[in-house]
Amino acid sequence: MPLYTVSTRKSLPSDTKEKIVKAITKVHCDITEAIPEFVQVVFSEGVPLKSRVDIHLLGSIRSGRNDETKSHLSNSFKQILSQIMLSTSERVECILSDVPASWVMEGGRILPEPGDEDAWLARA
Amino acid sequence: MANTTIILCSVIRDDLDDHLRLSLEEGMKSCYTKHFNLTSGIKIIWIDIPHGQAYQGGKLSSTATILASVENQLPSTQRVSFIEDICQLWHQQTGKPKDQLVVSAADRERVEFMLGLSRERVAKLWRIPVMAKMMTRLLFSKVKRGYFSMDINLS
Repeated sequence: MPLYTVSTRKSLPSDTKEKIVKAITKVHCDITEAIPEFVQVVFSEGVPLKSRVDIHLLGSIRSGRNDETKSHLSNSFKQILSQIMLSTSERVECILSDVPASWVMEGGRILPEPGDEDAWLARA
Repeated sequence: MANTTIILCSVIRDDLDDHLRLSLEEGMKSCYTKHFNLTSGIKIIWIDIPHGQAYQGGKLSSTATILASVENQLPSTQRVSFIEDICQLWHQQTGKPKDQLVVSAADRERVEFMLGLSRERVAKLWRIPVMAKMMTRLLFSKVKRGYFSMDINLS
């Protein structure tokens, strides 16, 4: 958590995937102050997307972030992914879905609520 | 879907052989019986991710992600206890270290909502053909291998 699924019509070259992964990880961590080690990105290819969309991003993120933060995330993803895909922000579809931290276990422990990462890491 | 309990297991293709998958399925079903007295209506779907398509912390990853549906608004203590058992099962049977396991127990209606979001990324005209193709793949793997599996890629 977070888990971002990147969907495209065709297979992407490895270097493009790596750019996308780095961009998503950086944007997420810069805005939410989360830990990069937990950011998961998977690619789903051969998806017949809507005609007005070049790339689709579905993100499951820990709930507790306000609308402003989520809006900032979404806009930043659209901007950076459109640059990588040589497209426009309007053709990047980004959907973020909240998941309570208490529903998820990683590294053998239930995830902390947003903002409690330091205490959680200290107990590791 | 209302009375079906779904578990989605996303793994790197070829990471777990057929025998291990079937053993994990039995183990996960036992966890449902133990925690919720559930003995039927459990559907486990394996989602295979090709090498090179999964990353964590910016690097290629072999993390297994398990999303198990539970009754809506399940009390936290029960949810955590269930998650711990699923995690322990996977850790013991696969040998995967716990930092390569992400286990979630989500409300049934949330799982259905998330599956809906995944369906909605597909252009409307293609939704029925895509669903039909997925169902065919799932049934084919059930007959051939004994478990439901599909690729994360839709091509």
